[in-house]
Amino acid sequence: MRLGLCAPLTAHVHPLVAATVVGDKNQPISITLRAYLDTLLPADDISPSASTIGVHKHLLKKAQDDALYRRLLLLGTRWLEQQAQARDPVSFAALGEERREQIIMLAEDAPATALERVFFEHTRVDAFESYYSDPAIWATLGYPNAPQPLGFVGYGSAPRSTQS
Amino acid sequence: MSDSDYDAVVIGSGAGGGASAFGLARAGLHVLLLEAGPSYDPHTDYNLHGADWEQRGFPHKVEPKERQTIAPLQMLSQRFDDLRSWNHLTGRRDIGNRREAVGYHHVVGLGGSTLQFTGEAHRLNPNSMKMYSQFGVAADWPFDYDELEPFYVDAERIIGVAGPSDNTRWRSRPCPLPPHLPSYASQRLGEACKGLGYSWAPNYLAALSQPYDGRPSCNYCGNCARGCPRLDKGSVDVTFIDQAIRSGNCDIKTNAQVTRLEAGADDRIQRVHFVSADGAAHVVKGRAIVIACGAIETPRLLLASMGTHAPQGIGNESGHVGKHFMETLYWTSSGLHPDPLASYRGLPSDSICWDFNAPDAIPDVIGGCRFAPSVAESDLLGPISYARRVVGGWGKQHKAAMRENFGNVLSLGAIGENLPNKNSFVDLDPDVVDPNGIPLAKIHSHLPDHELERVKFMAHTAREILGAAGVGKIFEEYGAYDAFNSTHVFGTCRMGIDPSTSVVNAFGRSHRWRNLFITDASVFPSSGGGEGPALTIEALALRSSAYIATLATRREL
Repeated sequence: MRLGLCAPLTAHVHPLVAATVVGDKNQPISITLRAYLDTLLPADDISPSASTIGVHKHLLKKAQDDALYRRLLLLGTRWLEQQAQARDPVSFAALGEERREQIIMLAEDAPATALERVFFEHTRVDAFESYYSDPAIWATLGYPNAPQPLGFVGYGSAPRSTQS
Repeated sequence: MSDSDYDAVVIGSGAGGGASAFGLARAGLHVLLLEAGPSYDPHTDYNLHGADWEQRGFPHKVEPKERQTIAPLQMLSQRFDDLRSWNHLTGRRDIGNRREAVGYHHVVGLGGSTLQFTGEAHRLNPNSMKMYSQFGVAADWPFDYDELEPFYVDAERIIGVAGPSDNTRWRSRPCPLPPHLPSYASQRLGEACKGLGYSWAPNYLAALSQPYDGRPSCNYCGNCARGCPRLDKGSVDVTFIDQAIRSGNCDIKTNAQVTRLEAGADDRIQRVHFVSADGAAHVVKGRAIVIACGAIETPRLLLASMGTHAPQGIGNESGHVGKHFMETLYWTSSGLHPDPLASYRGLPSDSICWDFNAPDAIPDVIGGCRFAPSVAESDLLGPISYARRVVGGWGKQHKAAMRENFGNVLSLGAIGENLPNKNSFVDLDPDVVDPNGIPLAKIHSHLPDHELERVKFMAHTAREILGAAGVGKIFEEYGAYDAFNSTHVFGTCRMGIDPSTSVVNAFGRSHRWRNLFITDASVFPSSGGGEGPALTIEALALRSSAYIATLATRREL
């Protein structure tokens, strides 16, 4: 267990939450979280994966500042590991893409108040906010720049091709 | 406590207060402008330069939603099910069967809600000022449009309004600046309107199409509602208030919450009590007291100032303070256009369809409306909103759909007349007070069926225009039917000729209190057919200021 990876997250947590991590034999949270986020927002021919641009760091930073969110990440990633290891003794991160997608679909389709659904809804929104705040991703969408200081002075004409 | 004397004390610094302060200071009166909130520095407070711009809305320094309460709203009926708000990913607004109290959107700060507005600078349709005599609804304005017209000209000049200079909107002089070129997306809506036989024209905007009065021209970033860091948007802080300060006749106190007006036995307001940010209580005197806190906070202050000489509240001799409340009647539909539009570019509401603005323009419904692009008003300007509200999903399909669709949203919004009714009013909440112990305003809102019929027309026409523009499938709609969600509010201190049915006269002067004036949209006898109210408020304030200055000269205050 490479606890060092999640040291910033667990450095000042409530003992109960810390116990959840320490007592758990699954992957450290950041490894599971990275695999999860890279399934939500995977790399393709045009743009990088979520973890490549540090989306997982954004969520972990938020968890540092918010005890409830911290607990949500811990329990959510533990749920992912439980699902992964229910069939084979393999961590979530070590699963193939198709199996990871199947597990996430279980969370997406769960009742609105189920832990895994709450985890999915919150982290997906946060992942979007982080991922789509990166100018490198904007470029792949044809979005040229933040609104200021340049504005969009060619606004009256058809947009230029975005995929070149 | 300390006493000071001013020719005029202006309470509130939005469209009405800012224009009043300027008008009075320009006339040579010594003015104190009191603002409950802080000032904003456009260069440092507005966050449009960073990668996280989209996650930041307008940077409120005072939470506006905590300043009012809203009484339980009406039950919804199946008859108007087609007007429920929905999104294709999240479904119908999940509120059960009762209309939701989303809130009264405003800014507490120097410049008021003009800091956040999109800058529409409209003149009122003259026919909308005669709703009672022509249609038997609401009330007539106590003067004709022609009396207000010179003050529209004055306000437009101070702001630097850009717009068409033809006479289709009852102008005596051209706009100070030429109209803005419509965005590429708005041009698609214009083509659709033309095909349907509707007009589509450049909008009148408080955004500079050329450098003006030391401010640069707009660079079309589309984010007026997050605050304009360039100063090209004609918010009150960079126009009227800036010029009031430059006159040398205007002092400003921010973070000064007025708690009470003190009435005297001589039908005059003797003192204004306010609390500064450090909690200290202050008293100030003015020969004229001008209230411009908006149609929610103005009646609150008057009602909360009840006392020996005004047992029903100041100005409430007729019992009409807080009555005749009118709200923002709105509808917006959004869909995806098949072609790339980059619709995040350009000014919000840069174009407009006025065809249904007249009070009798909508078939079988009294009260008009207008249509305008609404991508910016809907906050569909950046990738995050697309990911959450337009594309949804996750995985490789999501990413491909984002690339396919980003920038293709076309939205059309409508705002309509809202007629007063006895169930829409503002009073004091008996159960909730602010930190100074003053009861909060409580908003009571009701939309009778005839209002909903107007919304129905707005919704159907918005869908028709979007369809004609090439939008195959609408993905999101929201409107006033199932949510009280107002920016423009009117009518709670109606102006009129008869003191038994109104609060102030045609110049905004209290029928009883000789030195008390109101210069915000609370004096509107009718709301208009969807026009943005800021320019009319400013014109009214300039007109009242000229009147106050005349009274001051004659020593008749």
